Order: sequence, then C-alpha cells, then structure tokens
Amino acid sequence: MTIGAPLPRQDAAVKVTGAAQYVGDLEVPGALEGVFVVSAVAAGRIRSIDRADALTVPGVVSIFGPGQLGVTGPIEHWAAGQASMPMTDAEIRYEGQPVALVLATTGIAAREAAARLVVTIDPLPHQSSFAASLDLGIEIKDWAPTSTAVGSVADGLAAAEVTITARYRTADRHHVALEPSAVVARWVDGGIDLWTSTQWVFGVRAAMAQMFSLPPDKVRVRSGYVGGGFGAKGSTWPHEFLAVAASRAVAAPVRIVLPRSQTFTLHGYQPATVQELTLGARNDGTLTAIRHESWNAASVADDYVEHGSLGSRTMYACPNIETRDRIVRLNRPQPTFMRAPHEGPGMVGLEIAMDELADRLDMDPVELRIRNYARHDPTSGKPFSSKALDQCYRLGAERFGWARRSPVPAAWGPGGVRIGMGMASALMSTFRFGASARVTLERDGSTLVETGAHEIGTGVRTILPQIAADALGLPIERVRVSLGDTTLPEAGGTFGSATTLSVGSAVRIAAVKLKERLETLAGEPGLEPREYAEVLALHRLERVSEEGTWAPTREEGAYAMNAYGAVFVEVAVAPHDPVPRVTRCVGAFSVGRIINPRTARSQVIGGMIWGLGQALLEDSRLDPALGRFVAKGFGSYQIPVNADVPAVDAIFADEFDPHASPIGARGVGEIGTIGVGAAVANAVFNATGVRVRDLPIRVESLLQP
Amino acid sequence: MKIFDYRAANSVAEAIAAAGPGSAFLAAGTEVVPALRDGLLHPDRLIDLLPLGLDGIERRDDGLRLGGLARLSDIASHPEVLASAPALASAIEQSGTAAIRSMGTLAGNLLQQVRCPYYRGAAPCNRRAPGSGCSVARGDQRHAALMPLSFHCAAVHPSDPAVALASLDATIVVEGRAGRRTLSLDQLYPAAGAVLGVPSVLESGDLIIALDLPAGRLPGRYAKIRDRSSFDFALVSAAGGLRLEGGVVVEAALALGGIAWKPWRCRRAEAMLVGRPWSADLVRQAVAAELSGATPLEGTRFKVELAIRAAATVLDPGGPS
Repeated sequence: MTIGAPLPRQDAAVKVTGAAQYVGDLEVPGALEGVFVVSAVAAGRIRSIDRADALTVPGVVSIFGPGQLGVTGPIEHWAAGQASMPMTDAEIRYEGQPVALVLATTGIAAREAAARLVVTIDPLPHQSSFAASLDLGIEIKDWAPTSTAVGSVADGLAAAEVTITARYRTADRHHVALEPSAVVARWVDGGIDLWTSTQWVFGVRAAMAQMFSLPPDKVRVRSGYVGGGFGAKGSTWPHEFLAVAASRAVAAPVRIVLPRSQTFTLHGYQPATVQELTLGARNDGTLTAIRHESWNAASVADDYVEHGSLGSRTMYACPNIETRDRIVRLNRPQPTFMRAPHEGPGMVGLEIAMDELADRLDMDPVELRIRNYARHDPTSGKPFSSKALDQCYRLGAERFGWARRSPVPAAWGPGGVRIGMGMASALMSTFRFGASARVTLERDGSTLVETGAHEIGTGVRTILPQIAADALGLPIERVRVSLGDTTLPEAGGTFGSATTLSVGSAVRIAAVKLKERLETLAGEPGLEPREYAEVLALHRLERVSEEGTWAPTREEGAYAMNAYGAVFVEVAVAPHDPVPRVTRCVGAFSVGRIINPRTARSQVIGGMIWGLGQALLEDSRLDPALGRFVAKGFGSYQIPVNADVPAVDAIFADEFDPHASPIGARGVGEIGTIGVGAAVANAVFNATGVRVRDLPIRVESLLQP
Repeated sequence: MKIFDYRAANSVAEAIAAAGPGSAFLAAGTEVVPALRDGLLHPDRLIDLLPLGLDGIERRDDGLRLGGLARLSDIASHPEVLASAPALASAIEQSGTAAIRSMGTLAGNLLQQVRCPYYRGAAPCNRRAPGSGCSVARGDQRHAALMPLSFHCAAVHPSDPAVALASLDATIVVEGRAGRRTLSLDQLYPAAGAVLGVPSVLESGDLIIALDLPAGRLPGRYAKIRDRSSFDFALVSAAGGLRLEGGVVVEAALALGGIAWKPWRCRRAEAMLVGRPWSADLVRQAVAAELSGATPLEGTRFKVELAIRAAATVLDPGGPS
C-alpha cells in the first residue's frame, strides 16, 4: 500500500538545491522586463505623465500609460481577482494601483526609469478607514448566502440563563509568498503563451480568453514551481492581463516580477473583520442561541465577502442560529482569499466567545464544546459526510496534557512567568471540484501522471504519484508526474484544500481504468504489476494511457462536509516582558483519510505556525489619512521567525470519508491555521486574566501595572 | 538603482579625500545595499572601507578600544567585552540576525537610518523628502518615538548596541578633514529640535575609526522588548546596571532605546536612584520621572510602562548579572 506511506517530497531535492526553476528564473530570449509605477494616493484622477527623464535611462523601450495597452475594463469573470482593470482609464480607486508600465531590456533599467517617471495625480477625497465605516456595511449576493437563520435567536436568548455578547476583530493580513507573483507573457501567432506563478492555470486561461476575445485553445498557460501562493495566486490579477497586453503591444515577450512592495496591493490580502457575537446558554452549558454578524473591509474595485459567520452555521448543535456577513466598500486594494478564508477569521470570534462562556459557566472549555457537539448540520439539517471531532478533542487534550490546566486565571509558573493554556475548535467547509487526469504506462514500466493541477508546496507532486502507484501496484520510484499546464487534462485550482480529494480521485479513477485495460488486454483479472510489460509486448504496444474524470455527485450534496480540528496552546507571559510567547501547540484534525502522513503533517504544522502569525504578529495597519497600508515589506510587516515557533505537534483522527471523495480524503491544506488565533487568545486569558478580543494580541493589551 | 562608481579605499586619508558630494561610505553593506535597492540612497560614488581594517579590539590602560569596522559578532564574543561590558555583548546578541551580526560593523550600526515604515515605504516623510511632512503625526504611531526629535520626525533610532554604549559612557573617535576629534554618543546624534532627520551629525569625509569604552564602568545588562522573538527592532529596550552598598544605590547607569531618535541616557533617573535604598518602586519612580517630560503621541503612550519594565529588568540587583 503506497497510500498512507510517509513518502518524502518528490520535489524536495530540486527545491533545497536551488535547481527548481521559478518564473523569474526562466531564460526567455528577447524578453523585456516590466515594472509598474503605482499610485501613491487612494483616490484621484491622473492628470499627466511626464516621461522625459525616464526615457533617458539606457535600455528603456516603452512606457505605457492609461488607455495605451489596448485593453478595456472592467473584466467580469469568475477567475479574475478583481473586475476593475487598472491602466484602462485615468481613475484612481486605491493606493498601489498601477498607473504606468515601464518596459526595458533589463530589470535594473526598468526600475530606474519607473523611479524617474513623473505621474501627476489630482487627488480626490477617499474613504479608507474600516473601523470608522461599519455603518456603511451592505449585504451582497455571493457564492454562499450572506445571511442565514434557523429558529429564533430572540426565543433562544429568552430561554438562556447566561448570555455573552462581545465584539472581536481580526487584522488586515497579506499572503507575502516568498516568491512574489511573476509572469512571462508572449503574444504569438494571435494567441497567448503564458508562464505565470499561479495556483490555477485553467482559471488564467479562461480569464485571458475572455479578456482578449480568444478561443481557449489559443491560450496556453503554464505554472512550474510556485514559491507559495496561499490564495494570492488563486485568481487572475491585473498584472497578468497587462503583461499579455504589453507583449502584444511591443511584439516581444514581457516578464513582470512584482517587487515586494507591490505584493501588498496587487493581488489581494485578507481583509480586516469585525465580528459581533451573542451566545445564549443554560447553566449546564447547552447553547440556546448563536448570533454571529461579521463585517469585512472590501474595495470599490470589486466585491469580496469574507464569510466570517460561515463556521457558526454548522459548528455547534443549537436550535437558534442567525448569521450575517456584510462588506464595507472602501478605497483600498481588492481583498481576496487567504489561507484560511472565511472560517480563518470567523472562528476567532466564535471560539473566543465560547471560551468566555466556559469561563462564565465555570466549565471546562473542552467539556462545553462536547456538550454542544453537532451530530448533524444545525442549519441545513443534513448529516455530516464524516466527522471525528470528538476523537480530536480527546486525542488532542491527551497529547497536550489539558488535564493539568488550572481553570483559575493567572496561575504562576517558575520565575514569575505566567503560564496559560487555551484551546479552540477548528472548522473549515470542504470545497470540491471536478478534475481529470491521465495515467500512462510505458512498456518499461515507467508511469506518468498528467493533470493541470499545481504544486504550490502542499505535496501534490508526491501525493498524486502515490495514488497512481497504489492503484497500479507499482513502486513510487516508477511514477512521474507532470503538472501546471493547460495542455494537460483539466483540473481546478490548487486552493480550498481541495486538490488531493478532487484531483487525487481523478488520478485514482484513471489508474484503475488503466489497470482494467491491462487486464482486458491480458484476458485475465488479477494481473500482477510484473506482468504489465509482457502484456504490452504481446499486443505490440509501447504504452497504454487512460484518462479519469471525477466530479462531486448530486447524491453527495445530501451531506454537510467540513474539516475539523481541536487546537491546544500553551503561552508564557513574563512580568517584565509581557509579550506573550507560545511555548507549545498541539493540533488534532479530522480531515478524512490521510494519503501521506508526512506531507499532511507538514501542511498542518505549517498552518498552525501561520496561525501563530495571525494570533501574535500579522497586522497590516492601514493609514486612514493616506489611505494606504503602512508596511510594504518584511521589515515592517512581521511574520513569525523560527524563534517564535515552539514545539508544534499534529495528530490525525483515523478516518475514511466515504462521501467526500472515492479515496476517502476530505481536505487538509488550510484547517491547520484555523482555531490557533482563538486558542492563543484563550491561553493568554488563562495566563493573565486579561480577555483580548482583537488579533493580533499586542503587548499593550497586557500592560496593566 | 542608478549607476555609480565604486572605489576601494586603501588608507583612512584616501577614504576621506575620496569623499564628497554624492559619495557614500560602504562597509559591510548590510545597511547601504538595502538602502540602494529601496531607493533610499542615490550615491554617485561608493567608497569601500573594508580594506582599511580598523576592526581590532584592544585593551588599553584606560579601557577598551573597539575598531569602527569591528564586526558586531566579533565584539559580542570577545572575552574582554564579555568581562567588562556584558551589556554591549548582550545588546549585540539581541540585534538583527546571526548573518547580519557576522557582517555588520559597529560604526555602520550606529549610523544606520531609521526603520520607520513611512520612511521605508515611500510615504510622505521629511527624512526621505524634506518638506513632504511627517506621516506619523496623523498615522500609525506604534513604532514612533516617545520623545521625538522634533515636529519634523518622530522616528526612533533602531540600534541596540548604541543603547548599551550610551550606558557605558562610550566615546567615538572620528577622523575627518579637520583631523581627529572625539564625540560622546550623545554628540553623535542631532540635538533635539533639529529640522533634518539625519542619522548623525557627521559630515562628508567624517569616518568613525574607533569607539572607546572607559574602564571602571558598571558592566550592566541589556533588556529588549520586541513583538517578535528574534530579528526585530526594540519596542523599548534598556541598558545599564546598579551598584549597592548595604542596600543603598551608590552607582547607577541607565539608557533607554526605542523611545527617541538617539539612545536615551537617563541622567535624571540615575540621580534619583543614587543615595537611596533600592526598591522596585524607587526604580519605577525614577524611570517615570525621567520620562515625565515626554508628551507622547497617543499611539506611543504604552511605551512609558514598557520602558519602566525594561529598566526594572536591568536595575534589579537580584537579577542575573
């Protein structure tokens, strides 16, 4: 059985030796390097662009301003990150918006010329402050409902013996993938040949086909290694469209590698949320009411709903649940999905509120959650496809040593350091998409898996061969994989924690079909892998190939599907240096069958570390006067370094989800980040008695003398 | 990045002679190279100082002499420094990363530009573009000074070693066109109220060739409070120490970092401490008095309490020495 084996990453060696090629590394003869000049103001109109000084820089080829690239906006397309298309008009809608594109023979020349370009913008009044604009919140139509109600929260609160109402906040956060977004565009023979660092080549193809009025088969999109995406590379963004338009305009390949500063404004970020929660419960802990309202900062460039209340619709058994998500349109860059969207910020509110309720009831926080364990989806009434969260609570608490927690805040550790323990539930709704894959067996026994999915660091390059090897009974060493190209069988984007279950199922189906074909050729069932070559030789075939396609079925829609987890955290707070430090972190997860325990563990511990960033560091502060994010680099926008990362441990419930996918998998990618923020805040309360409701937790919240 | 000339200096005199309008000295490059990349520095000529050496650490009759180009990591691990100035070793160990400490020089560290995100992030900033205004006044203030230089700039000096050096009464030996002169650390940085936010008062052609640590000072400790456990600048830091006789403070030294455009030597607090019986309350009162002149921006108010706690760590006679 190759499935379930902790195989090492197939791409580990090329990545650690630097042999892996990223878009910025590609050698493209004759390519021009492009650099955007961006708006320094959040609203206004471009009055003029003075190119004189910039054009004196040796190597500069072209400088394009608004309306000069032959494209028009907006683009309404499901794969586009935003509808608004910069450089199609003189309007400035957000700070950081591209206003000009400089092309030069070298990147150094392009950057120098961009710095010398004089763009004059007449500023207009702007509204950028989210905190000051909640009353502008509106509900819009989105892929999921923005409001739901079951029962009556008013009745539930009337029946409650204890009520908790509070407001919680999460910060604006950026993906800051180590590899900045990069694209090499070539307009050739009336079509597009595109290399781009993306999580979704077929999405880029579809969006490009619409933008440039081409049939999809005239657009080829490739994505090799991706140095982190986290959602920023999940959609097609203006820099990709504009690179293609520029290549068409100058009849040469154009490469654009975004400078770090522009990664803060050009491909989305996780918007700040404000969440208002009301919980009602009886004295025995039984929930009688949940009301969760969430607001997120959005852009005038397009709509983006951070469905902050999504998790509260399905997390706990409660007869009365009302939820509502609103957006506030502001002059700021367009937000987007970021590991983990929706429940990532949303569970911060719900799970701190649950801790407050446990404290009020003088009840163990784990016990309170088990008391309200949902056996079916409380909003839709559907059964769960599979759910082992009860196992997670038990396994996680055991591994962590939860029984040693003192329920009394401000328990003292050695040296006057306060030690606190906190926990939270994690939930992420399961995304699934249709996918196809081809598996080809050569006469020499080597096997190739082909699919237009992507390796963004999650382990796809290892897991897909593993599934094929398992079905064919071959050693993993005989199976190669080809990914990230629209000439391969179509797959969805690598996001939503959906690739293993969706593409993995297609690979499994293709491999099983291949095995059946071989058995048909052999005229006997139960063919041994060592007999494959003989069968091919007998039929004078060099190779056999089969495609498999998988898509979620209607019957499975009868089930509610979520990934789950239970996160346990220990923090230390020193009296003279009260910056909270996480000292231990244990996560237990219910995610369906584990295909590769090594890459799965790597995913969730990486996610938990990402969650520590949300809890304690990541805070992109938007200056409301200037209408801009203040930090534009790693110096000011902080993410955890190794010294911040404690012992992080992850365990998985033993599970096979028969409804989520034929391979029993649900989704691993993002669940690890969820719950950590609330668990840290709850641990800080346990340590200090100070209830912090805003993330990240800052030392100034813990400074009472 | 514009094209510039590069010249390696083979003597101090040659380096000084090569300096002029549009030139910049280059040592390890941990400060200058990122500044070039980020468009913060536009030199016509870079004068490389590394061939000069000037990186020795030597014991003299009156104290320790540290070469201006001594590597930070060499200083932090030097037995004489560890013995007589542990506060400096500790401050270095808590600054930057191992890679930066192994490359970076002492003089370069003292002369680094501010980390204010407005300065670094191409926002309106008087330091970057004089007259464009200081964004901190109406903007994000968390990393700003408790005691700003002036209305024109509210950025803090980012160096950790400078705070320890201030507590140790270090003097700076500068070689320039007019010969050699000696400055206190306080004299290296602009005086309060200055209009231009410059990293130091040094002029073109001035070269820090050494720092002298006088003998007989309190060895001291260094405490740094920061959001991130490593690779982060101080929200507030403190360097200094105490000597007690029969429970009474007879000698005290204290400097604070992260609160002003220069390391802040706390003479007033020291005077309040000396001659009184040590208590945690006394330390709190002394630091509070030191900072009572501050009129903090709303977003920096929390630094008063942080400074008190950082100071309490280094002025705790029961603490680790």
